[in-house]
Amino acid sequence: MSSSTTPMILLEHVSKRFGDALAVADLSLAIQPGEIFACLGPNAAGKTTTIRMLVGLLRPTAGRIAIGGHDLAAQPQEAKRLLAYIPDQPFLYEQLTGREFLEFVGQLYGINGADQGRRIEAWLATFGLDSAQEMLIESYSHGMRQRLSYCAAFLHEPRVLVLDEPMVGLDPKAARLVKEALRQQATQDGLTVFLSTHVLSVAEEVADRIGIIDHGHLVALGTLPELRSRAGSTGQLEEVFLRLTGGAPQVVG
Amino acid sequence: MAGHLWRTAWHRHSRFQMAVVGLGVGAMLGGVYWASWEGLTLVHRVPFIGPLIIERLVYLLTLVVFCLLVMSQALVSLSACLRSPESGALVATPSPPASVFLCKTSEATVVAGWATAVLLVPVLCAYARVAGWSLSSLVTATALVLPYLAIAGAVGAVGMLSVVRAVPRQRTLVMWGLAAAALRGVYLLGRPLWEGRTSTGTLTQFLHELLPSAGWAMSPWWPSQWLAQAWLSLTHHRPGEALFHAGLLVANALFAGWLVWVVGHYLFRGTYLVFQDHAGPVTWWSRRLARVARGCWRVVDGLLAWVPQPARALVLKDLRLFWREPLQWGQGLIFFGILGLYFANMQRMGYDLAFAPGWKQLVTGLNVMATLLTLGSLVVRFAYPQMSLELRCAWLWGATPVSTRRMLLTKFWVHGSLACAVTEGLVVLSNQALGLPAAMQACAVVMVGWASFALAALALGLGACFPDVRESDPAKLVSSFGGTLALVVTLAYVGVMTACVVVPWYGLAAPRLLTAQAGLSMGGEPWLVAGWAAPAAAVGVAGVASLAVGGVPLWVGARRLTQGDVR
Repeated sequence: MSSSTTPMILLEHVSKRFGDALAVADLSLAIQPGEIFACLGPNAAGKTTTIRMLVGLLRPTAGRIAIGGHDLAAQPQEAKRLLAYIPDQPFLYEQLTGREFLEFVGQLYGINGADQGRRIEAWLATFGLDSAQEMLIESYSHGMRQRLSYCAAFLHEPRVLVLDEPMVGLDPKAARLVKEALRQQATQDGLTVFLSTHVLSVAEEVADRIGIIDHGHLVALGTLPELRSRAGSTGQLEEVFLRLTGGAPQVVG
Repeated sequence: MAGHLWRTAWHRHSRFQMAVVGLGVGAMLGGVYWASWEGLTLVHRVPFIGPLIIERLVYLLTLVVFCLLVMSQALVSLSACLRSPESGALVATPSPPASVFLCKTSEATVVAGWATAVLLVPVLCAYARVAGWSLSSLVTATALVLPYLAIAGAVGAVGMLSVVRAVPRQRTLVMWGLAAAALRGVYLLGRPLWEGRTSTGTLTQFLHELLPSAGWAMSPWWPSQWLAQAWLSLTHHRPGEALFHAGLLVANALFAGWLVWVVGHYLFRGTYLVFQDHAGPVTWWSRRLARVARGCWRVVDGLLAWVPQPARALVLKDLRLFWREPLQWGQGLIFFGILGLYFANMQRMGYDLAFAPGWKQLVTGLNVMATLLTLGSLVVRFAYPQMSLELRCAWLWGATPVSTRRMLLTKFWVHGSLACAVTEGLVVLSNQALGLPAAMQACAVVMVGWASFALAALALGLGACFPDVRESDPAKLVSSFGGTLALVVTLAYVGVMTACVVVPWYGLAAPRLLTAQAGLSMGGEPWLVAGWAAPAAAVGVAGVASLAVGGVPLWVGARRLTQGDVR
């Protein structure tokens, strides 16, 4: 992880309100280039809302978001050129083949010709989809669709990758592949990753820093040792997480 | 139960939506009744043979509706029986496959047939008035539509299941088969014009052409003939004969139900499993077909080279998705094909030689109305859900440099251009067949061109104004408030455009045309009343209406996409 004066992802006093409900409250974060940041939290904590604001699908009620120094509200196109986003359940065009879908995504980002073909071949091979590239997406399993989404995300060589529940539907082999790809891209190419997950082991294995959100508020932020110290625990991240978010639920009966 | 459903619907849907739907449906049914009454009365007044022509028309109507129902049922059954997640869940249970197939076929019959039943009611009411039916006869005749629908439903469902079972790579072969049918249709369309076939324009020849053509619709092998014969027996006060044909319909409807059960028992589960095997066996000819398909798409990409990226990517993607949904363009092919065949054969019926002053002008207006109504219903059905379905891909759009506004406008140009190409072709065909004056042809072509883009803009714009990213079923999206509003506005707009064609060229010109026909020319072209004022005003009204109907929803929709959140 390298330090830089310009954070790759910057959230300044970001809030989001849906009617009377406050989904995200005064969230401030700065994520440096090449950093992998994991966002944890209970259900309905505001993780997905934060992510959707980050990628421009929701407008913050208050605050400012910048990607690579570009204000997301003022310079959305410049900011989005640096971004790639994969939701927990990516909806794909079922009547396109895998290759056609990647060609389409490449053209959206202005990648054409031989360069596009080279990148598509490379990522299809990386994620083990080269034999299925001419099949319609409707015949893909859930895991194959997730892997195709990763191919689409990496195709235009983004500077920032935003992932919502990145391991959903992936078998252990594919999950290992994704984790290694994230680490490699972050270390070698300076890719900045913002991911949210319920799978605490993913955060433990790949994240440089961890943020814990609860009821829209950022209740903890730091590396794993820092969080352990704050929670007064030397155990697994699960123990730390439960201490910081109100403890384990009691089993009744 | 009905009361509970009504109360649930009343509370679930907005009262405004229900009022709009109610008004729209009422206006449509009233319009159908009025048009049927006017048409039947006109034909009934033809000396000596008016009632005979009506009889032939009844046979033809019931046969055409039956054929359309069978095709519609086949398409709906394909979705309901083989594509729906519910079918998959039912197949995985111990439920007998025959029960599952019968249940889903019944569901598909209701979905495919209810609109036909509703539309037949005003037509039957108009016919009842002309034929002098009692109320009990009308009720009986209406009730007989139900077994007729059941038979069509069974034939469509069984046919669909048999075809899918027999064809290993159903999608590819179906698409190639439909494409071959389309080429054949183009040949049939053009042949009368290429061969320069014309009629003498006399009533005698018109009847000489029509009456034998209807003869094959009177074959007792058609279920439609049993329904038509039952209705005609009521007209001729032959209750015994009516009862016999009613019994024939009911007995065969029950037999059709039994047939569905048997076919479902032997074929449904196996066909379902075959259908789920998307890839199918990979043979040398399937590889060859796939190579040919890829080559064709490269050609299309080359033809679109003048379109800048990323718009070209959007267009190519939409074309691919459109081509791979035969349900979409198949329906368009059927309905526009029927219109095309009719327009191309108008000369054979002597339409090009006026039976009465203004006849050609009136027919032009009706042809424009039929074309735009067909386009409007297809555009609402397939274009309106587009934005909701695209916004489900918001994870892709939201993070790309391509704005949703740009996507909307690209879709508008694609849909509008495709619609314009089809409708202009049909209108030109109609104009040529009727031998209209150049001025009238030009006005009709301009108005239909505007209407094509306006209808596309209306459907897409309202789809962007009322997106629903939680719904994945396009049919449910269309039945929402926005879809209903789009349909109602479409109907009203088509009425305005039809009036713009008919009023200046027929309504105002008829007296002058009559005068001209009587040899008492008042100078100038007979169809121009008060110079060019009426046609010019009509074109102006059409332009303003098109701008309002298409431009406003598109602008509002684009604004909403730019400003709104995508949940």
